[in-house]
Amino acid sequence: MLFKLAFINVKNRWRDYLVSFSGLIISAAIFYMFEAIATNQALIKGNISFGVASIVFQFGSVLLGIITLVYIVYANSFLMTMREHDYGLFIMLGGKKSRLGFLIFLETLLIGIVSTIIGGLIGIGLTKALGNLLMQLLGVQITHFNSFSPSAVFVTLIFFVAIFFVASLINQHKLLHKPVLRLLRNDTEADKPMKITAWRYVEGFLGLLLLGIGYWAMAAVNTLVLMSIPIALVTIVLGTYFLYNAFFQLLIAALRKSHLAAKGLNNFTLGQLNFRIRDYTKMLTIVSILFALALGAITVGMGYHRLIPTIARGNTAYDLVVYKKTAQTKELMTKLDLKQQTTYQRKIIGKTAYFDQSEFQAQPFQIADSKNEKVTIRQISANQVTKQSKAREQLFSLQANYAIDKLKMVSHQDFQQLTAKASSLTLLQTTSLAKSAPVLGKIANDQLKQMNQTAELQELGGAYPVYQMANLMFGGLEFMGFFLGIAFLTMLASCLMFKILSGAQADQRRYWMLNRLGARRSLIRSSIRRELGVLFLLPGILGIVHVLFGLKLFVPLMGGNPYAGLQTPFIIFLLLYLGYYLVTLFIYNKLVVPAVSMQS
Amino acid sequence: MNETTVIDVQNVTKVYGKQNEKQYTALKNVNFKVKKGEFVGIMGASGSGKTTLLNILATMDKPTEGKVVIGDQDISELTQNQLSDFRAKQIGFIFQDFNLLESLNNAENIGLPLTLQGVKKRQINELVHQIAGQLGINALLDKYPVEISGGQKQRVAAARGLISRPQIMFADEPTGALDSKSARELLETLKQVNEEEQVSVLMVTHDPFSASYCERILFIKDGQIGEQLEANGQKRADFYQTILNKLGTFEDQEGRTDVI
Ligand SMILES: Nc1ncnc2c1ncn2[C@@H]1O[C@H](COP(=O)(O)OP(=O)(O)OP(=O)(O)O)[C@@H](O)[C@H]1O
Ligand SMILES: [Mg+2]
Repeated sequence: MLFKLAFINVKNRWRDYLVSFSGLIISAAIFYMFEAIATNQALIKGNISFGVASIVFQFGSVLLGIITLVYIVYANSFLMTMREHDYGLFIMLGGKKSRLGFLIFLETLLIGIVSTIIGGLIGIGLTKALGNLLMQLLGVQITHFNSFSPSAVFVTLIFFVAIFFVASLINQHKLLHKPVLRLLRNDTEADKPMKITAWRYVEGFLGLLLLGIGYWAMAAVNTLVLMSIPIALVTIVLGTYFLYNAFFQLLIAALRKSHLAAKGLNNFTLGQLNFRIRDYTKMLTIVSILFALALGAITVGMGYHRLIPTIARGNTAYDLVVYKKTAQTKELMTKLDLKQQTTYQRKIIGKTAYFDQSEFQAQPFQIADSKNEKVTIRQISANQVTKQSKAREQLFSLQANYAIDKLKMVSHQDFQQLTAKASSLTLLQTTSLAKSAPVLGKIANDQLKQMNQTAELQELGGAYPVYQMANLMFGGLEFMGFFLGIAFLTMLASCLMFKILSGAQADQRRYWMLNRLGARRSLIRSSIRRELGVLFLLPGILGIVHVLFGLKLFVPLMGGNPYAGLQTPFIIFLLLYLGYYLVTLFIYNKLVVPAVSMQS
Repeated sequence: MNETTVIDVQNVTKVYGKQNEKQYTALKNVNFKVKKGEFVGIMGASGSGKTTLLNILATMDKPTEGKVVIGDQDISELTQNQLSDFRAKQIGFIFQDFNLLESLNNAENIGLPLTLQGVKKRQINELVHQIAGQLGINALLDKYPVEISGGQKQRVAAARGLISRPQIMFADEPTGALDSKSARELLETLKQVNEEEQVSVLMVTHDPFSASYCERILFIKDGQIGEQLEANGQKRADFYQTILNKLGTFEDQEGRTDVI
């Protein structure tokens, strides 16, 4: 009997079930994605060269765990409200409570296990797809990257089953202690008007204050060092919560009193929003924090990537040195987009390298200066090359394959008279290091072959070898930044989407009534657009502000300026977020906007 | 009394279900007129098509065949937006479940149709107070729907239906969820605006007592209008008796007691 009820219920409300089921599946998938990287020690150690990486991941694991927990509790209570009526009916018709309790327990657990398994499978697929996509887009090679990781599967399964086990017990307890009439009426209390008390103002003020402290803690990372993160975390989470719980509500209450509210559906929209924000406080808090984490991860990842050219080109104006122009090297050089190619003759006597000054007059030597992540290239006059320390150093570094400890610039005649075999240094300067990297790599290989067996890439002079190493080092970091960023974004946007769509049932009634009262459909649509827009916008704005202050944490780590080049990650991220908004809007419109037309 | 027709229903048929689906004819060739200032009741067994008819008249649904003229407007000729405006200006509603918006207070709920039409806030305020005074619900204006009783909610809903001074008021079992005292109050209110403002009222009801407030009652059976009953100036108590008798004859014919 109860099984039949359950079946009919699912059939009638499959849309709601689908929404909440896909929510659970997505959360399991994201959790798996995260664990696939977090539990992969070889991957973290092999690709990220700074020690705090695994701490960061453990920290992230805990955070994601908490978020998942809250999310599941939400989704679960939503599933329960859909079933309450049936349970009430069952009890009213004389069903035994103990049997019902057992059934609820089984039902919840079953839903949990099924969605975890499906989510895990999707997670494996997503990990593989996103991993490959990112490696291709970012042009990095990640070693030890595995989309299927037994330990991640294990962690995900254990974690989810444990949560669902607890959730089952909670559900059972809740239902068995609720009066039958309340079950049958299926009523929600969220619609009560908000009372503005003095405490609200205190909360609103407290929210701003706590956020202030959190932001300060992140900016003062130099003095607070490791304390900075926990302080910021606690104050920002609480501050965000208070902001939603009080500040925004006070704002809406104020807006409703203003003249703005009297126009069209504005007052209705504000009322809806007020009710939503109250209902969504926890969800919006989580979404804001997740938003900041996701955007932060991508921004920092890209920030490091952006540093690569600076690091590579900061100490030399040339990309690669060619020592021996073999046939193959010559051929490869024709494929390069060269800005400049300079060749100097060199004679080595003992540990001193001699250069011909006239050549340096004809083709001045160039050096790179880097300041605040900006690299400038300038020419050095021939007689300064060996005198100026920076120029000397950079010329030295171009000959790393020889043990030289002195440089001498001599006149053309003197150079001719030196009795030593002349060798040549051909300095290549391409228009773009990143674009030329593949060809430069081939040239480097050819050059290495000409040297002794054990020669390594670093021994070649120029920016390319440094570029290659930095790419390996930071590429992994960027990859993970993007990977986690997108995973977090998916999670947060699904949270929001799920929460909004799960309310569609109740909203449908309101919009139908507005329609009956003569609200034009365009008006209803624009009201919905605004309502959902604000729900997406608020956590977006708060998230961005959190990130902007949070980047301060990376000032000591990244050396330079973590704020440079923000626009790229921000634009990518906001476009994805906008996409989620539009999808949610589309589905929600489909669900709630009434459609009756006299014209067929 | 003024003899202008406000509702003219001509050969209306409603078939539910698409061509390739299972079809059900809920209304068959329905014809009737409602004059300005008339208070008309619609009675009939459950499933006989009352709500369907009311929804079509109220422009919420479209007839499969036939036409509905309200005022001098054939409503099938209206576009989406014109329909919305028409609903906001020309007709008022009261539903069985009160259908107030919980997020707005009662005054805002009552003023909503005017807000939708872009009327100025000050003017709305004035009109809200005026109608509230008329219906005796001034004290409820600052409260929220959750803070008042079912009967009070229904009167707020009636005020909302009347605020734009519509030509016609549609009510689908407005007293269905009310106790007898609240029901009586609501009916008195409807009667009052009907008489004072010449608003036509079309009310679906199961309840003979509510029906006794009407001047004319249409009995609908299996999607068709069968008999009519007119008060013809009878006292309410007498008309009530007439209705009971009429219902009694239905019971005899059908051999059931739960027809209406
Ligand atoms: N959307 C629909 N699709 C198909 N059939 C419908 C639909 N709405 C109503 N019906 C059918 O049309 C008939 C008339 O329904 P309607 O709701 O008008 O009855 P009613 O007279 O208002 O009944 P009640 O007194 O119970 O409210 C019923 O048999 C019903 O099953
Ligand atoms: Mg009905």
